[in-house]
Amino acid sequence: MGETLEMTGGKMSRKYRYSILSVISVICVFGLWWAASVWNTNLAGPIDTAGRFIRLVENPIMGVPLWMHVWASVRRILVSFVLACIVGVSLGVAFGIFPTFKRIMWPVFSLIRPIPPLAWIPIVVLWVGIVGDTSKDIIIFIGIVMAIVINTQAGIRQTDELLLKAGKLLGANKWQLLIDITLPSSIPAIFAGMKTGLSTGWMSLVAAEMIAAKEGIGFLINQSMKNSSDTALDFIGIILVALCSAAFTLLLNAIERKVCLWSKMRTK
Amino acid sequence: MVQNAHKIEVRHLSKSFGDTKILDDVSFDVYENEFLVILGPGQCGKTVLLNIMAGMDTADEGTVEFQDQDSNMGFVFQKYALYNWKTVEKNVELPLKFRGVGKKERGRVAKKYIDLVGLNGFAHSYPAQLSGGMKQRVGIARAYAMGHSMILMDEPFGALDAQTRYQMEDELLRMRNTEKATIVFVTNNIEEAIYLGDRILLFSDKPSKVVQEYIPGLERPRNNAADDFMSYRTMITGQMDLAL
Amino acid sequence: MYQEKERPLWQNVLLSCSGILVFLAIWQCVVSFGIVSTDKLVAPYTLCMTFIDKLNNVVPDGNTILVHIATSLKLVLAGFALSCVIGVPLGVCMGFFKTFKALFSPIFEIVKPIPPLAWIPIVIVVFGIGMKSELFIIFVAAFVPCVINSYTGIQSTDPALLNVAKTAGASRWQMFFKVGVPSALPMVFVGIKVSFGSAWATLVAAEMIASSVGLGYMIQQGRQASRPDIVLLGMLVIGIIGGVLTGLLGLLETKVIPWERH
Repeated sequence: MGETLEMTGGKMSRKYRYSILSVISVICVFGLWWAASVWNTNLAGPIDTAGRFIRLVENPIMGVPLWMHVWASVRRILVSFVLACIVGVSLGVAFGIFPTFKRIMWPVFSLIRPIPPLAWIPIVVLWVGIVGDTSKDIIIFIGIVMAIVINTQAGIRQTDELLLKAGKLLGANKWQLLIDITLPSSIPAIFAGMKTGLSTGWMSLVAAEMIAAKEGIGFLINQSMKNSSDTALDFIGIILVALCSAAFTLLLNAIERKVCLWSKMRTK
Repeated sequence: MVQNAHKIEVRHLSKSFGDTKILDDVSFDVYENEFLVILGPGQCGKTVLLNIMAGMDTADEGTVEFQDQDSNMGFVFQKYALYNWKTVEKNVELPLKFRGVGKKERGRVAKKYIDLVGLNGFAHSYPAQLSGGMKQRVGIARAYAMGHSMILMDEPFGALDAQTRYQMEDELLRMRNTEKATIVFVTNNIEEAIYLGDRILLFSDKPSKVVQEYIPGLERPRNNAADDFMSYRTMITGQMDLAL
Repeated sequence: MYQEKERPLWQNVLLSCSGILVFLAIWQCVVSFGIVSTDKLVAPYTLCMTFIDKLNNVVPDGNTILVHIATSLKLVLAGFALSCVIGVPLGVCMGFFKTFKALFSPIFEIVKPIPPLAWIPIVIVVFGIGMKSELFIIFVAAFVPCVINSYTGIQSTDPALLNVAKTAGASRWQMFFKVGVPSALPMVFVGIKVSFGSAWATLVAAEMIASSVGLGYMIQQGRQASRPDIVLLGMLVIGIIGGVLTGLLGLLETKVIPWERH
């Protein structure tokens, strides 16, 4: 879009210029990081972090290897996400196609929704204890399910009236209208809800693990807080989270492309 | 032109939306296998009339009677109303699927009509990959699959550019000659009406009623540059100005 | 087709209230009849008592509830305001001027997937425990949605509108301010609302981890002291304040963007 506005000449050199700028800015980020670590000696720089990573793999904290922490986090997200999708889509669809149900239940939902998932941590811990995955799974679940319900419900509500009318004319009964028309046309919205939910889910995961867990990436980050000269560990945790979260998003995008290949098509 | 048996009888149809009367005591017949054009100015209620005939809406007064109670009707929409997530084939099949027709039979019927409208080779394409004219061909194929002997069309070529429009008009006539069907075609384009119609019903602005019936006895294929065509057009245009 | 059927106003009000009332009734019964023990759940009316008590009582966390609320509000509003002021212009510039995008986009993409709370240990090392750290974390949390939505908003400016301006002789900056920005405003507001929700959620968590005052701290202390009534009260207050402020943002939106359907 900016191309209509840029008035510099030479398309090839323009593209080059932008890529070079991007590369420079990434280098600057690393540079800033390194500079910050020199200015504040408590802060680990890129090189220190790499070193810490190697030491971590060789000398795991309390004997628990790194990959187990990563797996703990991934496992929790996976379980919660799948559950949240099932519950969230069902509830969202119910809200969408039964307006009376929505009218009755929406106020209750609106009361619970603004409570951040993390605010649930104390009460959930009170109920099911810290040990085990359950408490973390519940927190993550709450975060993801809200986004999915809202987006699914919106997607159903904005089903094109013309398509429904045509469907009725084509002889569809109510059930067929739902399965063959309403749901497929809501799939993009459902995926949008899943992606938003997933990012909330990662935030909830890290927080929940920081507060109430004995393994996981959040736990590692919390450990780094206990020993305040171990900022390198924090950086490692951050990088791990970023990588995992990016991997999940890419996976979700790939699934979406497969399911919705029709929406990515262009006119011949 | 031979008068065939009545296929549809519309009697004293009236419809209002709130305080506005849209249709006012409309009565006419539709004969078997004819190409009937309903011509009228924009927004005069032609779509409402068609919707009532198709059963998508109910009239306040009057009746629509079908000679053949069980027959299904096909419908073609101006905005195509195709399902973007289904292939052409699946779109055409859909009315049969809703009716519970088996997979093999569905495929056979769909293929027949996809070929009829000239889209063989595109059965597995998606609507987003098709041009406007091609999309409407899918719409027509689907309408044939829906109700192979009777098709209602609501300004089907209104969204197309002039060139494609002319092409589609010819194509429609060709299709109709290959697969006979009764067609009720709504338009606000006088030229299109004369080009296509065996019989034209001119409607007034709302509250709408039938103002005039024309039977252009012009030979087919019609030529919209010929003198007789032009004079017919002038006559109808004049009448339409009066009706407004 | 999925529209509600017409109903008189009193019926609609009744239906809307019925869900909430049934919910509260079940809640009250579950506690009163001992189905769930009182060290896990506390009845609604008890919560009201707790609230009144906490208006003056500093047990068990060292402050009255009003102090907690005030602290949390100050922090969230400061962080949120800062992130809007920096995030929206950044997002909008990134979307309009390719140079901006090339410069800032990589940094942004790197920061985006990182949960804000993960920065806490580093932030504490740099800023020390206290308000500044919390402010920074909230800022990071609120900043991301602002930028993303502002960027998307201005990207979807109708090119036809820009061309009209261009042929009328507008300069790039004029096109930006007169065409791009106004047409991006709806998306910007979506971003602001999401951003506030994010800020509020992060605040609560940050207070639970690294603070000694505020609503998040209050509920964490409630758990430590085995006071489920304080925990639930805190949750409710957090929810209500969050909802009210988001509603106010919605109201602001109708004032700033009167031309959009709301």
